Amino acid sequence: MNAKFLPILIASAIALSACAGAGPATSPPNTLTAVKVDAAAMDAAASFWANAPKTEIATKAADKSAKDGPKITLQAVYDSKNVVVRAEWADSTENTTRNAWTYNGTAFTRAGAQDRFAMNFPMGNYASFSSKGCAVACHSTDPDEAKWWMGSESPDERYDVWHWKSSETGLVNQVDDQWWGPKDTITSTTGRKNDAGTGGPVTNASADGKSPKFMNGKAPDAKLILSGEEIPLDVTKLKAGAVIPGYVLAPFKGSRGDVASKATFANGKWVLVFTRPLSTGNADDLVFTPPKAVPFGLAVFDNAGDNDHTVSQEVLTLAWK
Amino acid sequence: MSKIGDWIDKRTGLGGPIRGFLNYPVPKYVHQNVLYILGGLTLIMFMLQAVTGIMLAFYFDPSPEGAYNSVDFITYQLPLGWLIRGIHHYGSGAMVILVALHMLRTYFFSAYKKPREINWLTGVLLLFVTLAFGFTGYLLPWDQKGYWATRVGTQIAGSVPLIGDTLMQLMRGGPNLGQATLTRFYATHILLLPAMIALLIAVHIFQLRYHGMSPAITEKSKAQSKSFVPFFPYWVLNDAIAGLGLLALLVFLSATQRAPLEFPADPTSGNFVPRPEWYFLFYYQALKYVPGALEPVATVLIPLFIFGSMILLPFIDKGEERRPWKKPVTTIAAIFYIVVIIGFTVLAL
Repeated sequence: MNAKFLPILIASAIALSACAGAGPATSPPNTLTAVKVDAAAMDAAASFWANAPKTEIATKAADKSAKDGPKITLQAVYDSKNVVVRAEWADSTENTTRNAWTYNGTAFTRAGAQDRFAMNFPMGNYASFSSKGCAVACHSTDPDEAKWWMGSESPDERYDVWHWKSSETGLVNQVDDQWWGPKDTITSTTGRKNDAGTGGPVTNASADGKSPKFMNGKAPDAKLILSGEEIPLDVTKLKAGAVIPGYVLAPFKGSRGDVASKATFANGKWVLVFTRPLSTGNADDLVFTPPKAVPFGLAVFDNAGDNDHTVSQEVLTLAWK
Repeated sequence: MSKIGDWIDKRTGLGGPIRGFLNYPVPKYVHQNVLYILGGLTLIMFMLQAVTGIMLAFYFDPSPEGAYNSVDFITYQLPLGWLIRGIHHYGSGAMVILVALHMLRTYFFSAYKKPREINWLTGVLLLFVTLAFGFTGYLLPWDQKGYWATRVGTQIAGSVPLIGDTLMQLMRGGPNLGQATLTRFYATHILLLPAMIALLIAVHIFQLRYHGMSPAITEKSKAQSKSFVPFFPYWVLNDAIAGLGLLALLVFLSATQRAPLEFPADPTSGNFVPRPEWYFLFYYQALKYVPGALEPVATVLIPLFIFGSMILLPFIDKGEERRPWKKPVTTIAAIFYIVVIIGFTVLAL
């Protein structure tokens, strides 16, 4: 055995290994690279974010004549059990009062919407979504909104949707964990299916629909009425200008409550962090198996209803480092 | 053990040939030169590819509907599937490198010269078959990269004057990529090419044993050319250590950088930029410099020239001189090719 042989082999191995393992913490375009950390906590200010590459995603309205949406700055980390995503975007106003009631001293008016953020992940290897993104699942390319649909082409094609709503889920630090199914069962209003479970927002309206049914038993004009804390409306406790939440919220339990969130609005910017187990054990959820990359799409809603939102234009990739 | 060996020998007559094979005298200058290990290492790499390929075949579904999901399952769910696929994936690149290095050693040592022309020719064919393995294997996961690279690759074949269309249809099994293409590529990858490579390796080794190692080219090695060591255990030990080192490297690569699997193939995708595997990048880059009208000619001429010159080499360079520093034409020509191939590959990255 030539003595030169082993050092050459070892040197080659080290050089090749170094090439394979090297690389700064950056993400290719349209790729959200989740970085492995010891303990992925739902903390927007955690030190581990300094090592997680930032990816900026432009959002545009499906209606091409509408104004473009904000750029979303995404980061992600994961540990052996959970993935945590941090999203940050500019928004001139904080809107967290969907269908809230405003009391003018004699009567109520109901108005308001909410800021929202959503991500969707195919729950299988779907070629068309992987190459075209939201264009094939969330929207047709038809400029006529009436022809838009939300869903898939086949019963075997399902999408896991994480839908954060500043008013309906954000106030209880959750994300609405939903899914989309085949489009033949879908209309624009019933397209999203809720994951199994209980809880969620219950509309807060009297039988005649002219006033709220409940108010917060602890603080009459609180932004949140938690289920169990509601008391029947008592206008004598309200001042003119009081705002009563449009929904009584019960935190989701079961699969629908798999995704937890924490959001703050400050200085014209939303900072949202949310987390979910890599595998929930629920049939209506995608199982993440790092390092398998997963395509996804996202949407952001500025004080908006269902159709008035802006979405990522190309397929995005969640990769794992 | 010897009783069992005797029993088998008396019934098969294999004892003599096996002993002859194992006791083959290897010149010391060969045994002590690391460059001579490349051939054995290539054989070990092929065996690793065969073993991992068989394992993968147990789980692979050769249909456009099932191929991607089966490779996805192997990579991300099957216990140690990532390792087997990783070794197979990185092994294919390693095999190309090893064959190329082995051929370069043969070239620079003039080991292709009389009477070893057939050994050189089988080596050229082995290189061709190795590249064919890479080309056919690339499509099998049915992901975006493999699909679009194969589409372009078969289009290049389709641009060959006169027979292009027929060639492309033969490769694809029709006008477009689909089930027929996958079936043909899979059959070629797991049946035709392994049979060809096994046959060529057998001829290659037989030729090697028949003619012996090529003569020494340096004074130092000439001085050792009369000293020998038996093939077993000396050379076998060299190969075994090198093979284990190679396997360790492949395991490490597989663990640190999983074998890639792009998103599933979408034939309607309009924006995927196809790229071949790294060992075809130089050709891909070279074709970029050819004007469109001449492309059909270039697609034929470039491979024809490369393989043609390799095949003709032992019949052109017939002189007695074997030392590369005394043969400037062949040495500079080889260096030129190496620089061009590496340069084009880097440009294409």
